Amino acid sequence: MDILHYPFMQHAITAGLIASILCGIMGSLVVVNRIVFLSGGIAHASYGGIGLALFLGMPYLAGAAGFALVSAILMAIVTMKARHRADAIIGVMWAIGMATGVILTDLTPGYNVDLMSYLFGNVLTVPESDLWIMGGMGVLVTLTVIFFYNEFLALSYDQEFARIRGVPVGPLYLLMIGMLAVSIVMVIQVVGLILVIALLTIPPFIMEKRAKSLLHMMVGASLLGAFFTLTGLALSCAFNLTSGASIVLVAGIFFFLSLLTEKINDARAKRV
Amino acid sequence: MSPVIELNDVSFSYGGPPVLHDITFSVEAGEFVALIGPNGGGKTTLLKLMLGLLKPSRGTVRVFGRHPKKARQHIGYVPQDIHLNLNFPISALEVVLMGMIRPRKRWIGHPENHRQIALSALGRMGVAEYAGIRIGDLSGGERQRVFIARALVTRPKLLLLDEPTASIDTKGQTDFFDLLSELNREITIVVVSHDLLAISNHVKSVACVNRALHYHRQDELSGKITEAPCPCTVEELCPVGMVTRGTVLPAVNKRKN
Repeated sequence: MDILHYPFMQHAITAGLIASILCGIMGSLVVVNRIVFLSGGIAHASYGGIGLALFLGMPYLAGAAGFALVSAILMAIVTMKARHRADAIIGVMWAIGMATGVILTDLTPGYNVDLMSYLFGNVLTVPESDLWIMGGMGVLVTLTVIFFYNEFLALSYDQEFARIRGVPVGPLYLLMIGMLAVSIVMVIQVVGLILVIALLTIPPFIMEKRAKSLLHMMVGASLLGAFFTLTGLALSCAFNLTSGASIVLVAGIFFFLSLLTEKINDARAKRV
Repeated sequence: MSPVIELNDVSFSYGGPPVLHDITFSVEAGEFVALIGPNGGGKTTLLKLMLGLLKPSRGTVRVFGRHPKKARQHIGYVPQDIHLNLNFPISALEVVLMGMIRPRKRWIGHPENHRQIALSALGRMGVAEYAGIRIGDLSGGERQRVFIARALVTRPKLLLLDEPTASIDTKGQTDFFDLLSELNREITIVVVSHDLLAISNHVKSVACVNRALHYHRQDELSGKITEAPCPCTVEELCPVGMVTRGTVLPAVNKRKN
């Protein structure tokens, strides 16, 4: 337990908890709106922004956030206007963003970022300044979702009905995707791309069938995410493993356990 | 008094060949109209034009004498439930409360009087006991009643339903149309349905939609003129011929005996 006294460990835990909350809230919206693929697209396309920031010597965060926001808004518009073509176009943007990032990194003289650190991040090296930005974003996203909760719920459940009742579906959908893009970039900075997708989908997916309401799903997914993160961190310290990958695997194990219990419950319900 | 719905020379296409062509059609207050026709014939498109969710490529749509978008506050809409996610974590009560969203009145939660109104709407539909149950755990018929309750809390003067009985068994369908008939005392109803049996027993008029539209008014369907040939231009696909000629009605009578 001595390790908890080290600042780097305290920072890692704080970053993990904030990431869990951001992913629990936005991930629930992602899962009920069936836009997991779009989130993957945003996360990967943002690598183009990291490459661009490197190439131009700008701060990382500005490059990644800008790139992610622009690609996210484009994807959101395609999804709204041409739903049946959206997944192919998102796939293309996914690939192009990633490739742009790699090429721009190649073209940047003398300096090379390790792609692995982008994919899995390193939660153990989070500086305090990033924590403040993450925390601020966490508060902002939480308040926005609470403020627009009824409308986000309506447009996620039944978009046409929401539109008829006067909910500004288009602008709110863009706001939701915009918040998603910013959250993804925040979390990628510290925990990496793979962990973002895992935290964004696994806890909400486990909660979806069990929660009584969207709010319940968001809270439950945040708590589950925190549990996975802390367990993964503890394992990574105990066995000297990569932290991000450990967290993802812990989440993955619980994902399959959850599927298994669901199947068993379904089978039991059928027999009765 | 102007008709509740008025379509004038309306055509619509999703970019390809027209889905609806030259439709002129009006629905008077107090009507109970069934829209029937083959799949892909444009029934749902017609409903969406009435709701202002789609814009006609030609012609005008008026609801209560106004642009459909401006008349929405008076329209209750019950969508086809196959499009909705059954795993969505939402209770029946929350679905109904969705009908009471007020723009510019935000923050999570609902005022207590909204809850009471929503609960009484569920009660009126006979499903108050399921208020706290997840919507996906209800049967098809119970779910449709919840959706109607959601439409009713908006106090509509016009109710539009898109294949509401698709996931209900035969007995449930009859009960469901009884319920609609009761609502029809106060509300004008337009329902898309394939269920000829229930239609022939309950609705006041039928419109066949298959790119074109033919409207069979009340007197045509009264049973007295069953010998009259169906004047529908899409006769082979128009089942009203069967209804008016009495091929369906005797079956109904048999079932009742």
